[in-house]
Amino acid sequence: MIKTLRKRHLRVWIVLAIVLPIGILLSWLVIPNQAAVKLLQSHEQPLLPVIWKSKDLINYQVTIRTNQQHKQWQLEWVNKKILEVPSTVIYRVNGAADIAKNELIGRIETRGSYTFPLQWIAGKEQSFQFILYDFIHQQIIDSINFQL
Amino acid sequence: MSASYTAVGWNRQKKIYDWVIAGLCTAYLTLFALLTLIFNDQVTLETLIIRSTSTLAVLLLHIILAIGPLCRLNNKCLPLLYNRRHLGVTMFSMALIHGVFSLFQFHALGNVNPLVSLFISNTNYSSLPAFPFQALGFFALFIFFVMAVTSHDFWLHNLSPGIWKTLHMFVYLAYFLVVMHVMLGVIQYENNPVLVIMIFTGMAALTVLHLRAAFREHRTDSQQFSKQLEGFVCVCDVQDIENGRAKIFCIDKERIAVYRHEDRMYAIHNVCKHQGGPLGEGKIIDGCITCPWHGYQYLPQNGQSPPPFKEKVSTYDVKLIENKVWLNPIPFAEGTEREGALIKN
Ligand code: HEM
Ligand code: FES
Repeated sequence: MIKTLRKRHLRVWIVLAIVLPIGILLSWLVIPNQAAVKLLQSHEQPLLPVIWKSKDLINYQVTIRTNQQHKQWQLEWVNKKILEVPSTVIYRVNGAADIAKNELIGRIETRGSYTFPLQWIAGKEQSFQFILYDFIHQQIIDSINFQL
Repeated sequence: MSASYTAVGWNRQKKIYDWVIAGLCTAYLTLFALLTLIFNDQVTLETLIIRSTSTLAVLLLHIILAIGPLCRLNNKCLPLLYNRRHLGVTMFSMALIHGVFSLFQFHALGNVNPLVSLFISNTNYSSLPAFPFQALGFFALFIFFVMAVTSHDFWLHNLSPGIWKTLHMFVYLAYFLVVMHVMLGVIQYENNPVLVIMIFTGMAALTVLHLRAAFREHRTDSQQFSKQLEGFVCVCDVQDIENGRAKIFCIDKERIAVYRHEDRMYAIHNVCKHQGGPLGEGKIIDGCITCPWHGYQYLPQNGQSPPPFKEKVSTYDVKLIENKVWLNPIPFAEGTEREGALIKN
């Protein structure tokens, strides 16, 4: 390498050393619902015994499950047909205007069955209202409401 | 060592290199597929291809970017550099598969052209969490594409090494785009801490490596020589340079390699005509100074590549006074014959 080239590399890396950590940190901070790890989950956790409510839709069956004491809750999602949109996540609506600020439940594939744990906070009014969201095209595909 | 042995040696090394790349890539893809199938049996083939090739491309990109500074910090890494461009082309192929499959998977269903859909399906350029991350991937892929097609030496000669090197600096921009493509893309929806940690560690390692190598080079460039005599600068003792090897000195902003070959000292410009490799870090093989990067050769007494090759580098005058090596930093025209300085025992 010649000296000018070495200098150019050094300058580029000084800039990268500043810009990259800032970029990574900023994008990490804006992740909706930072706390929990929400990867796609298929039926690996045991299903809770009590079916609280279930909706049978054309493309999928969505069930809310709980235990005898109503302390634990689960969302069971069964794709009946292969979904047309591959890039889908499920949000639980918490009233936020910005979709990404709602509670991210998890991601699903075009086929298969999935179970996700649902938080239950004692004494607080809960909603079981969900949005199926295509994050690539930023579109709501469906919204599913369970009346309490 | 004979000339033909060297030639075969390099080729064999090149083949081994390619086989190792192919083997490791296949192993990675297989392992990825197996693990995914074990932990998520619902996964579709498309998703599997999209994820395995993309993560492999990112892994290869990190290796590629680490090779340069690793070689400057430790000579033992030089074999990695020898065929780095094949690694680059492999990385591009993986990224291309990922990009094309993503386009089909996510954009082919609508009635808009998938490439148009990529840019118009999301126009939230002012939001971070909803940023159109795919556009970032697209531009990175474009840069890798240009680099892959111009990676052959044909282009190096036709574009001139200066332009070619400038073009290849864009790899750093592409790297930045890839990091943001992942951080603003899949991380926003899966919030996968493992991926964040990997991206962050990779970034930190690359930055430290590059800055360390750069500062070390900076030290070589700012060497000071106090003793001067009629245009010659006293650089070191005769014994400091092993037979068949060189030492590099930076005088007046130019790096010069002083080689010891049999009973003489010769000096040539340190920059290889191929891709600017450090000639002073090579060694003499079959009477020729051999570039450590890809093996271009130059005769020590005139800086010319042996026929049929036509590369030439500048030569310099060296003289020995008692036990000291004195170097004149004014270059002779490329390929000028210099007799070197005789070492008396
Ligand atoms: C036309 C170009 C590209 C398009 C359309 C594209 C599209 C996408 C999409 C849609 C995702 C999310 C996939 C998912 O959620 O499963 C993704 C993720 C990713 N992309 Fe790209 N990408 C492109 C180029 C690149 C390039 C050049 C690289 C790196 C060399 C790259 C590396 C990644 C990685 C590491 C991920 C996260 C892992 C994954 O889910 O696949 N992409 N890309
Ligand atoms: S830089 Fe390629 S052989 Fe010298």
